[in-house]
Amino acid sequence: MAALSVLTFGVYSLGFSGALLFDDLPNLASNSSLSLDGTVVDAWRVAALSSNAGITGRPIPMFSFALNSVVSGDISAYGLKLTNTVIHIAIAWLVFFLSRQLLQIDPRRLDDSQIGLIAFASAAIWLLHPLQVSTVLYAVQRMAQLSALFVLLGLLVFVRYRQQWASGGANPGDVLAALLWLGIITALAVYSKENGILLPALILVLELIFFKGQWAGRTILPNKVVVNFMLALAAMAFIGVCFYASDFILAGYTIREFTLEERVLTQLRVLWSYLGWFFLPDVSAMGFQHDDIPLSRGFLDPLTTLLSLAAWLIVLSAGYFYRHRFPLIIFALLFYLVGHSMESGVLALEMVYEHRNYLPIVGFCILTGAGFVVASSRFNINQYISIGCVSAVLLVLMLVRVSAWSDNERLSFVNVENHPDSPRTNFLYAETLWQKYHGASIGSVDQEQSKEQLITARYFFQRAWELDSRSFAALIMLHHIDEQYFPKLGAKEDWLGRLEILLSDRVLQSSDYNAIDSLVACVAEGGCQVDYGRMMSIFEILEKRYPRSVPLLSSYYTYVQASGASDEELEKICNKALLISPANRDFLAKLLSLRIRQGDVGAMYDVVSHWMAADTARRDILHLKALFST
Amino acid sequence: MITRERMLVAAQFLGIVALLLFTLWVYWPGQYGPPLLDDRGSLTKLETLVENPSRASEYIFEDKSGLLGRSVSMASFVLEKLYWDRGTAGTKLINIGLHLCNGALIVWLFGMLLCHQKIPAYRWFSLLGAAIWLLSPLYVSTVLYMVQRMTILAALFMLTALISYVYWRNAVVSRRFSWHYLVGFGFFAALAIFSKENAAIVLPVAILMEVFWFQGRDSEGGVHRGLHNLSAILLAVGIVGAVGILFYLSDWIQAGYTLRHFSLAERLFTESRILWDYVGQLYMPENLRMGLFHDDVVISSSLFTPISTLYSVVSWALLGVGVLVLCYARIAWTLVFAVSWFLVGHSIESTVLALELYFEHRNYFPGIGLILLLLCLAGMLCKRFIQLTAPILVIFGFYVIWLALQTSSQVQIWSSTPMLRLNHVIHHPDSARANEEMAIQLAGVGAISSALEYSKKSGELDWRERIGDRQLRDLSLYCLANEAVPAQVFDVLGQSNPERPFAIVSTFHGLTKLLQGEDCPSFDRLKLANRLLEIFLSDPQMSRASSNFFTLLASLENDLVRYDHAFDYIQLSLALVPDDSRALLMKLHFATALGKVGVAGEVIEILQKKRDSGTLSNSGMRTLELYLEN
Repeated sequence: MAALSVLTFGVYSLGFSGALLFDDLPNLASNSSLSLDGTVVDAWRVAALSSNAGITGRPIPMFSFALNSVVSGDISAYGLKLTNTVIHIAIAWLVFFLSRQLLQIDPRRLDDSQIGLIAFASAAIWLLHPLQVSTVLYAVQRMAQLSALFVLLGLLVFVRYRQQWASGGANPGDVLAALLWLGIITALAVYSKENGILLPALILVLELIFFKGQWAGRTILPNKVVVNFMLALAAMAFIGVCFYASDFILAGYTIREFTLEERVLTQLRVLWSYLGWFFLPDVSAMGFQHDDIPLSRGFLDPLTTLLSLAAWLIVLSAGYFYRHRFPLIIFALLFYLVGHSMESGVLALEMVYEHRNYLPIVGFCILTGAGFVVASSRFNINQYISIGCVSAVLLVLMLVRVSAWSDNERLSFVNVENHPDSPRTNFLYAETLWQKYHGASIGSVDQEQSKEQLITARYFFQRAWELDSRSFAALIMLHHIDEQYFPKLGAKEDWLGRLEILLSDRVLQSSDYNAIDSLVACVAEGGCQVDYGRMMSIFEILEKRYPRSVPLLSSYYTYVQASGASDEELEKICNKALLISPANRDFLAKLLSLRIRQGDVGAMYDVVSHWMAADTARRDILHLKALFST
Repeated sequence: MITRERMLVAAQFLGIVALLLFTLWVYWPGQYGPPLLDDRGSLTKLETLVENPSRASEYIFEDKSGLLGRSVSMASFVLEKLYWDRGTAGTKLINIGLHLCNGALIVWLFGMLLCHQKIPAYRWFSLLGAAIWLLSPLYVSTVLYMVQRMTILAALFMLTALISYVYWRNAVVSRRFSWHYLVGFGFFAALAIFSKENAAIVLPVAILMEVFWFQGRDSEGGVHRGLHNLSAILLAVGIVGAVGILFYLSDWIQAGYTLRHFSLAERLFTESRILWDYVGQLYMPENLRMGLFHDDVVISSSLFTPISTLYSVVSWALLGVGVLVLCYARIAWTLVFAVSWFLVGHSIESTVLALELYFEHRNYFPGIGLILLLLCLAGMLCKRFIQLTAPILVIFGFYVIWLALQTSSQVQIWSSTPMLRLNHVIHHPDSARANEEMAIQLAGVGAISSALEYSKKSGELDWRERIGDRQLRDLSLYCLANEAVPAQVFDVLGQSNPERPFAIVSTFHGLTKLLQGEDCPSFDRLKLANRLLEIFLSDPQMSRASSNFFTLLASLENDLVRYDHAFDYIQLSLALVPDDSRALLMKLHFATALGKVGVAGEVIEILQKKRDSGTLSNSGMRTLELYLEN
């Protein structure tokens, strides 16, 4: 295991040079709270609370990012990815210990050397699988990593306690101690990422499959009944949460272009896709974005939806039927489905992300590891060689993916090669080229090459739009490029006109807000020619559709400020935004800047007072304090 | 060979060092905070010490704070001023240092107490208990409020006294009677009492400790009859004595309420709620509303108004019944001691005396009892189920981290004058003091109109304040803002309540101090003095103001070199308090300046008599000597 860990680290180290991507940017790169020198205690607290991700704010990974920042001197991709790799290796060790403990529960089935070998194979598959690369080298996914780490630690603690109870029973002290430990670990998992809350459910899975209510050397029926009752309870709790939180869940779909039904139906297929990637790790199918997956509009549209459902029912029934003979099958299935129940269930999240498999595939790793060892033994193949071969194949595939992830442009290119029908992948590649062109045009080293980059970028922006004609971002970028660099093309295609048509029914998503921001920035900087009246009519339409949208007000503010609006007008926008969202830091800062410019000290104090009152977690305390010391 | 015990001692020592360093790190920014409230009155007078060190003994032994003068605390301030004068930051650093010392003493005391009860891992529980206390945000307002050095020092000597007591009683039960520990107890108790007089509670706490914690037993459980009986007798005598003192002092206690806007019954009802609030703030702090100003606390006018009074009284009653049951059943007496520590600790400041209702620093010593209660409960659980020790220690560890983070944000607030004032007024909008402080803050930065608004609100909220007082404060604000005072402000000054236009001497004192300085050169002092002349000397009446107020008026006229008016004012002051040494000395000064030789001679005669009877202060004597020499 130690050699494998070193090898894995070595391979992953090739990817440390990769850039920060997508969600890394708002959470890490643009997060000023993570720029700390570590000398002030409260700066650590502020950094740990600086994320808006999830319900908890995920303070544990945020604290670890702050630690990275202090050690490296800033938020560097290299340090972040290196730490993620170390965490990945630590989790693999947990997978090793957990699988060994689980297989020891019924020692009649396997001997000690087989158990050790299966545990090693399970950990190796998990550690080397190319599917994990997009979690390990995507810095912000440390949240998923740490959550998985604590969940596996919790499972290990449970299994260790439970094994003792199964053979020798337990006194109340043992049970209470186990509950306390599990409570602590669950809290750590949840504060890393909310799906850590699945730890109790996964414990139930272990109890159901491996311990079956065994207590003090006997199988006690009431314990089985208790387990079944608890499972029923968990199911009821799940349904209860869905009903209780139905408003919350449905509200999430107001920013999506798919419905709850469509998501659930699509996930039936997506879950099979994930399993496909696991068992047949075709790196060309993997990627950063998977928005090219068709939505399931009904059971028959596409037909694979119904087939997927049927397949799930069949494998679950088979798993249940063979639960005594092949308990690892039902264990892997339940572990996988429970592990996916939050992110691949009813919540209005995006459809597909590879990192969602980081923890759920642990069960299948153990199953596959056991499968290889047992099959090798059955067919008289050297077990070490068979595991070695599997590891070698996975290692090579992992190396291929790590190599792609070692450079932002290469990653974007590989993604677009592998997912030519993904609008977002095309857009991201175009954006990478566009940024490169922008960077190069400053130095103008090779004009011809730069020009080629610009043309290629435009091609992929257009391709992104062709694949998704409702893509705001692509339309805005095309308008920007054509206005600035290809005015003749711009005259032919009225991208802005298409955008205006979309405005009436497009459900705005966070990427759309960013796109509007970039349009405004482009107009404000003079790069895009859009007359004042047209821009105002765009904002009017948006305001009618989203009267309480603070991000839109922010774009509007930027635009009217650039257009030379008076302080009174700007103040009006600030007040409107703060009425909607009193704690909005962006608008509080804007209003404060206005007051400072006006030289009205009393009013400045009013704004700070409002800010401090709204900032109940004191996340901006150091910022505000610095304001007074300057 | 290193034994396990030695390793544990070494580990605990390292733990203590780490804890103290961490606490120092958390509190470090707090040294940059401002002087507050009583700091100004109590400590600014020490400024003259550097030029005139011979007055040191005068400051130490002639302090008027409290019943006994707090000489030990004053000595610490005097020594600091003479030998380590680093200004406000230095004073706060010393407070932080003393707080750390107290933390170390608590580890020591808790260690001995928990060891006697044979609590598993008592070293770690004592360390974590001290950590909870050291890092509780409730104590930020004690540690960083310079004048509360008195409370901190009292706690330091009380803890040392209790540790001496434990050593003494351990020697006694081991049949090794030791005078020096007993003398140590008495010595430290005396130092505590002369640091702050409410340290007198150390004696009942020691008795309660013997009765309920040690129960006269040695470490093996053997009972020392003599000590057991003595402590029981002392407890009984103490209870009877306390009741007797209450009866004896009832008139004096009642008299105190003539200066308050609440009655004795209202105070007791209100304190029943406040004590629960202290408990909540110690265990589950809401640091947003923590601070110096709690004069907005709602007074319980009856058992049912507000209804929370009833709940509080009933809860205390139930707790009392619970304690009696535990006493009767002779179980869990350690819990009784912990609760008693808290209640006895509050018995002076949170019961019948007509003090202000709510101050966080009152929990500095009593709060140790509440933390001991936590440790007792955890210890009892761990004694019953040894397996729970490790997870409970971990939970305590997380609790300490959580408290430390709350404290760090609170320290940040306390390290900036504007932030502190804003925080107070935001979370205590109905506090007259918070509004007044905000007015001062705004005036200091030139925002006079906003400052006047806060001043107005402060006036409306302060039950004592008359319109005249607010007018005087507004004049101070104009001075602070260095703004010209509008003519009508002088015109209306003192028009309301002509029979006694000003009620609060400190407001006028603040104004005269400002005018004596160079803060507002444009302020028309003459206009103010003339207006006051119209109010007080056009028809001189003693009932228009207090003696101190007339003295301040005389001082104002003295600054304007108008000795005739100053003389008239001082006459009015002496008519109210004929024996006032300071006023007599001022009269001597004015009479001499005006050439009233006869009057001066009469005053000298009176002052000499005072000197001979020992009622003239050292500084008074020195001043008198100057006149006698001339």
